[in-house]
Amino acid sequence: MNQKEQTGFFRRNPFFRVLFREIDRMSSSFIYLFITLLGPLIAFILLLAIFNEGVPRNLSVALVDQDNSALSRKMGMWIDAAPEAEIAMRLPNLAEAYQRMETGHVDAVVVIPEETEKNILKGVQQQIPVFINNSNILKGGYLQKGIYKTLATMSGGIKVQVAMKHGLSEKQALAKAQPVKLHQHILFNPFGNYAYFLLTALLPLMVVVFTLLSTVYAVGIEVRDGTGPEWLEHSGGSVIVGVAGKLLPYTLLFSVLATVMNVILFVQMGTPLRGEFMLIVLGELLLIVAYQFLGILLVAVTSNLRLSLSLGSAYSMMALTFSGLTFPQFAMPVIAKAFTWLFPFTYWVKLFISQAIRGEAAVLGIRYLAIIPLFILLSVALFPRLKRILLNEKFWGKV
Amino acid sequence: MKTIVTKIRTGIRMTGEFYQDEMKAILKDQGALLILLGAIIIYSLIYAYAYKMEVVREIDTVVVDLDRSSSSRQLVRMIDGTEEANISLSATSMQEAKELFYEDDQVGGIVLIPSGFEKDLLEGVQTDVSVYADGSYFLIYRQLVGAAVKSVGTFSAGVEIKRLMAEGKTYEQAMAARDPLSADLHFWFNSSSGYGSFVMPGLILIILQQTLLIGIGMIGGTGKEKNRHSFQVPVALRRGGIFPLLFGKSLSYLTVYSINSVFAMVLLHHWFDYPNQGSYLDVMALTLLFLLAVIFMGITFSVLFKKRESSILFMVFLSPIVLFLSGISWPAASIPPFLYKLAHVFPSTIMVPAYLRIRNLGVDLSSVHYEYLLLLAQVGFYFVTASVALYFETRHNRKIEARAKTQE
Repeated sequence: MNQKEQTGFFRRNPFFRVLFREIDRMSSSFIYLFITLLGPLIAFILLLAIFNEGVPRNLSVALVDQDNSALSRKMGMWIDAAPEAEIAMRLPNLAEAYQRMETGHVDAVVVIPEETEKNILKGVQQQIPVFINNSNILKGGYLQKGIYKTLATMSGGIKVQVAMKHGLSEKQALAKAQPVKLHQHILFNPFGNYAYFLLTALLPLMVVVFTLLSTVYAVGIEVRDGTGPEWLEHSGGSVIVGVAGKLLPYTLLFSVLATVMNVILFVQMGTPLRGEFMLIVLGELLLIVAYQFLGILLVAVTSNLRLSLSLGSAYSMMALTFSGLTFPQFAMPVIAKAFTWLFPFTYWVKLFISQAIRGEAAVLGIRYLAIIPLFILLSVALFPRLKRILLNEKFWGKV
Repeated sequence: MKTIVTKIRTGIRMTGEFYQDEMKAILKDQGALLILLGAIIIYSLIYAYAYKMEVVREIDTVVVDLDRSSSSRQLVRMIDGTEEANISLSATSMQEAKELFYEDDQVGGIVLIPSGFEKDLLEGVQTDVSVYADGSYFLIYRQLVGAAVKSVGTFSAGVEIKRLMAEGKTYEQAMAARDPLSADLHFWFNSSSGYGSFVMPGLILIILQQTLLIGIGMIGGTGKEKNRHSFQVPVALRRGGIFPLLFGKSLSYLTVYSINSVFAMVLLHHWFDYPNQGSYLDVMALTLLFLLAVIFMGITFSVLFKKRESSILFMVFLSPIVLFLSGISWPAASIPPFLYKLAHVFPSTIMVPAYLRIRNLGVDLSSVHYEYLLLLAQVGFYFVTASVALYFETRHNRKIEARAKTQE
């Protein structure tokens, strides 16, 4: 009796009628399974696999050793031992090494000229030419760091030896070798490595992309197939109830995905969590809902499933560039700088940096959080148009 | 003999018909046009514009000068003088500097000069300068630390040389004693480390590939929904197989993407001053193979998409993944070997490194012959798969048609 009453309630309540209708629709096609579960998981696995190594190691270096002395061999060994570099080949001259760079086999060439050891012993300065292919600035940067540090360390070692030979204590010798020492402190970045840094943006980007596309699809297909009236009939004629019931299953699924992402970010990768975790979770929920509403906005504006999907994929992908994480906002031209604020993802990245990485006061994080609902309001303003599209036959069946 | 000639002639005529047919399908389809023609223009212009400044310059930096001596002021001037850093604020304590840092989003770091800095220098005691750089933005961190390393290194060297010359050494002797083994760094290609020049040429290839794959899938899905070709194809099958259909389709995409390539690889490079060392002939030879491989791959996969929007839903998310798999920024050697091998199903994985060497290093085809052969093999492979895919699709369509006829 009791149970019957309950199912009766669910069957009569417009919200649940739409909700169950949507779940029925979702289980009817492989597409839904892919865009809510399989796709995001495949994306997560692939991204984690690509950046598994964390820092680029053992980039190929060619050594042109024209000195063939104990010192030059030691130099080769030290460069090889640097984590960033690996002596992939030894070649007789620079021309041949250059050729290997042209064919893509090496990224840097170190030349040890003749008489290097002799010069050092004589107290004459010896230049060690290093050529780095900087067309990939990430690789170039790592190679520069690794090779430069190795040579500087060797040079410093020689100096200290010479000074100690002249009767200075080790401390005095060190001070003489390097009057001003620079201490480098990295503020906030827990990893100091590019891969983890990228992953903290790429994983949420994938959540955003799939959230937007799945919403556009779920709503747009109703317009295309002309099932809008049936949908609204289930919701008792209310767009708000209709949208709420339709979006909820996706909101839940993507929240689960965001939870998986949080486990990867904070547990597996060890991203620090210096601020309010609740703000981050709230931010993720708002981000998901905001992109859902932006999906509705796209369909309402274009009344065309495919156009919305095209625009949606461009809009969601571009968010990465304009979040300023890879190339900072303040270095962008004015219009591009203004453009960055048109993506909820930008606010999320700021919130994440503020609350997870920097551990700023919660107020500073809420600043960013408070803007995201504006995107939702913008979309709600277009609900009347959505209703018209759903009910008016002339909008249906568009390719 | 005559029959062969007629066959060839019919084949060419039919190829022309299928070409026109596919071109019409593309041009009539707003959604596909946006992806096949609009996307590359919009995407590449927007990205190129965002990266227009190429490098991060003049990062606002707070200085905490606890020494307030002429030496410390000199060091501050040197840091301020670098291209990367701009000493915009000064604080009296580290605490105050940190507050300034949190308050102002523009501030990228802090430089701390300890008290007793000058005194230590004069006494020959090693002294410490600290730089705190914002690591939450990678590029800011790199630039600021680079500026600090450079200025402190130069400053330190100056102190040493003065000291050594005071001991009676000549300048050359002082230089040798200061740095017996000096790294003489040369950056070849993109020596200013421009971000746009680094990322855009490869990114363009990825955009070309992904839009082409999605666009072909979309047209294919549309065709399937409308059951296009179901009447012409059986005729084609009888008269020399599906090759006219495959050639006709491919040529139409090649036409559109030749225009796209000229825009993105020639005009855009010219406007934004991206590296352009190699000869256009070599670029063309490579690009032609690349486009053919992508087109045949796209046609192969297009038969899998039953609906017009499927290709977007299934493939959009791959774009950033394919980008990183191509080795544009993340070194290919650091990608797990199995995954990197698997990534060779995408023409971009082979094309990007070869193309970048031609455009950036200015090498000729002989230096990319390995990739060239690999691309050639890929074109062959996807040609076969595309033929097989189209064959089965048309056979399937024929059956549907036959069934429809018997029902009548």
